[in-house]
Amino acid sequence: MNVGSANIQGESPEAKGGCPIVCAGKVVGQWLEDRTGIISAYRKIAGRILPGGVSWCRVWPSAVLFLLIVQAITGVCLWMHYSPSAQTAWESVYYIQYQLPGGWLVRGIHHYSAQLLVAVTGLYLLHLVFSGGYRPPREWVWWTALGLLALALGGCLTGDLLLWDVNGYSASQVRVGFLTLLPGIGDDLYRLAVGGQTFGHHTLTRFFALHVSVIALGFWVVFGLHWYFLRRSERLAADGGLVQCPACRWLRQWWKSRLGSVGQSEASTTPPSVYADEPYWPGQFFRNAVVWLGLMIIILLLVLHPWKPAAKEAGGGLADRGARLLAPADPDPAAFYAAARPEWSFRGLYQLSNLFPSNPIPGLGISWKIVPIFVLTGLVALFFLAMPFIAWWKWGHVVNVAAVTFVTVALILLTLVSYWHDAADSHYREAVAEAEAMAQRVKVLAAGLGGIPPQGALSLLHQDPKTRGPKLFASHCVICHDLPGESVMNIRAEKPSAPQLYRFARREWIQGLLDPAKVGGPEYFGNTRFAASAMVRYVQGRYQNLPDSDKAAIIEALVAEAGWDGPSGESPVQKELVARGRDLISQHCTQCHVYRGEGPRGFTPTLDGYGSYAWLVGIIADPTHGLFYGARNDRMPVYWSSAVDPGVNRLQGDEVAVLAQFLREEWFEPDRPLPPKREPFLMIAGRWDGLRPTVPIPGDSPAERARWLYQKELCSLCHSMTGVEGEEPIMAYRPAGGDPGGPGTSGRTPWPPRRSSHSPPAAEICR
Amino acid sequence: MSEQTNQPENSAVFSPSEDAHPKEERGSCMVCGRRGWLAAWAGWVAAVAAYLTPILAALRAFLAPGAKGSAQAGDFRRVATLDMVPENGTPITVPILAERVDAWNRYPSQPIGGIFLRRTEEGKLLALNVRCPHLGCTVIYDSAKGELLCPCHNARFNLNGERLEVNSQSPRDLDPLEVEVRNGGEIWIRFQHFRLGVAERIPE
Repeated sequence: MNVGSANIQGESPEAKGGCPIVCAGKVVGQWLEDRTGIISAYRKIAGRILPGGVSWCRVWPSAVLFLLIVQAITGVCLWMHYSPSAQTAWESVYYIQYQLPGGWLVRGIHHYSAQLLVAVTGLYLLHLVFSGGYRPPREWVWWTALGLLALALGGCLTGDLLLWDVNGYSASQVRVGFLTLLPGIGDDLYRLAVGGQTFGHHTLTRFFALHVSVIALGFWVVFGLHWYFLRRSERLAADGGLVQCPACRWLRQWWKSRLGSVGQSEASTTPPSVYADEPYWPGQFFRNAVVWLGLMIIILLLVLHPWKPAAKEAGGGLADRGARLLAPADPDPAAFYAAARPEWSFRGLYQLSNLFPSNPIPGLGISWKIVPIFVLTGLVALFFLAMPFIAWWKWGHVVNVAAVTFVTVALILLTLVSYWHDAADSHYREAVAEAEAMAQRVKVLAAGLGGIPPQGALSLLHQDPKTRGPKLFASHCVICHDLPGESVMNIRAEKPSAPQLYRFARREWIQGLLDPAKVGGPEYFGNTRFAASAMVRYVQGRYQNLPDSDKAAIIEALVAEAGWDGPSGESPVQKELVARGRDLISQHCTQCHVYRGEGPRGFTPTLDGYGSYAWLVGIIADPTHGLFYGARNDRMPVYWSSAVDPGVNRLQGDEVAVLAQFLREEWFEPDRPLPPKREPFLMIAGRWDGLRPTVPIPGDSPAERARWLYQKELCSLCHSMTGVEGEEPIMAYRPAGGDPGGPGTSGRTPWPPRRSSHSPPAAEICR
Repeated sequence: MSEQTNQPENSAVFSPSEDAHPKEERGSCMVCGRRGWLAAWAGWVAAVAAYLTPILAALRAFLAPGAKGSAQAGDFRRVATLDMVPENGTPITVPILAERVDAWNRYPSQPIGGIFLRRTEEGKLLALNVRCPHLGCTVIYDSAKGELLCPCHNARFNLNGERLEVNSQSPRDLDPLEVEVRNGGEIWIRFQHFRLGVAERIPE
């Protein structure tokens, strides 16, 4: 290498001649070589002599290095777009997967090359064991290779959580929770790992920092050491430098014998066990490059998974390719993902730990789980570390090979059992299907609503009537109310004891309500205390005397009250019919119902806005409100009563709002118009609160106030008051009790009341 | 294993000589013969394909923000009513709210800028973007002098947005915006930003 002879002025005489480009290239090359030595370094690397010659068995470290470089390239790119916090981690991964051009591919390559890194490192270790490459003097080669596997697994463990989806979140909780098994230091270690007592921002920042610094950098350092020890052992070991597995040896033999027929002299003269040294270039480079390309093809196949039918996803096109992303993690313990599983590489350990009970070991007070998670794993790790020493012993290698074979076969079997177990577990399959449906839904919402609110993607699901509604209905309503609809609107009560709510306040439902055969049946009031109420008797009795056109008008007017102008609306109602129906309601129904300022309070639900969003919010929040059932409320609890003390509420305001929208089937669907914008819950609750009678009580004297309350609130429903001198008599809406001022009517007065001097006909009461 | 049984050195320590395999100069010819060329070329093609895949994917994602969006004049939006604007020509400042999208997040109703709104001497409505065309500071109304002032570099404008100094820091007058009065008293404007630091008005 005559590096000193380069013309450092950059103006070589040849450059002025007839070959400007070639000569300029030469000059630049020489200058570069002179200043940096890069070309001779390249020649040295490419031309370095491999003791024992080129071999497929030499590709292992190079394959690991390739995957490591792929991890670094894609990892840095992901790093640029990832944001580790509880409100942004899932959201930024969603952005990478579905919005960033090429993001899904980068993420897919990163994910699957990480899986391959574990697999290739594991196979490399097996190769070292079975070919004897771990034996002295290669202890450090073996130990650094073990370190590579540990780091690859550590990368999977930390990377899994970074998605902050239900699987990573729940699985990591289990995983990190194992730390508390350790006696004494367990709890402290747990807090160190989590960055506090519970999973949150600091868990993400810690795991992220570990993932991108300690593990990623550690990988390069350990790999560098491994490479160094490997080269050194090649150079110095007396065994020819090359350890080969039987397959490689056979392949080589076969190849040499074929070459021999071509006329290569060496192959025929060399004994089969001794191989000539060969340069790296080009034979080994070719083999390495073929393996790199093979690995990349496998990665791309895993990313594109062409064998799976393309699911229609929010991002469209290829966006559903690549690594999986489930719904965002929900810190609600009730939302713990029951089908949380570790990556495939931990499935063996997962299944092993399932074989042990959680109850304490007698006399120790530590859970049995410590045996698979720490004791057995630790012993196996220790054994792996000690293998080079065991190999000194005459039969040591045989023992090592047998033990490694046993551990490998056991892990494979346990892994298979774990997958087989899941495949046969219907609960697992249901949980996975549910999680996938939720993931699909949140992506549809995020894409359809033009972005994710600053509170995070979880709020999209929490405020989504389609997915949250059924859960709320199932935990609060279905104990009495049946919901015999389809798909999400199908939640069946075991023992319905209240009206069914499918398509509540829509035409069909109202028609059923006003059907004499149904109103007293189980679909409506049959199982309530109103089974023989005035409503049922009215529908079965006097309502039947109305002409059919009047009935139709009343039904149309009631349907109109619910305001079905949203995407889930009923067919348009005829205006004249509705107007006539409203008059008829005022005429016939205000004897018991409040409608347009008429009718008794605290008795029956108001018909103003019957079934509308605000009406539903009001009755769910407080059915005992004077404009709903008042004191006559059957069994329906007050679900919401305080804006300042959430502890007294059975449902929080947003949950009431979600239920009301759910019952009205007002939710976002990509192929439907947007659902109507709704006022915040507290606005509506405040309006209902303003309608409570306790606020405006007119009158100055106690007597006047008492009279007002008697008349407007519950008393005058049943009790008339007629005999007070100097005051107008108060007539009961539905006389059923004594008259505290009058001559005395004890016992129940029959309904409808008899016409008498102090009981005017019912129709006149409210007029 | 069987072929190595005649070699006991597999478990031996390093051989006494420092280098068990002294290098021969066999690699003087790096690529020998047709097979060598083939292996080298095939190797290069495979290596480039393997490494280029993640590099191209990462570059695609990395360069994604480089794609230039086309400048769009915003839609007309309602910003105020006529009775909010003083009769005497004094300007009022009206914030402009709009939905803002930041990567995955959507923020409803965020301030994205502001306008001066005043009645000119001819009784017409004038809307000016409050952003100074120099470096984008927010111009304020100096009520004592009856001028508009950019506090960053003291560029002064009259109430019609024209520069008052000959050598103003601002490369152009304040940017006027299209105004319409609709529905008898609602003021609608087409809110727009223009490129900073240049004399021409280039919509952003």
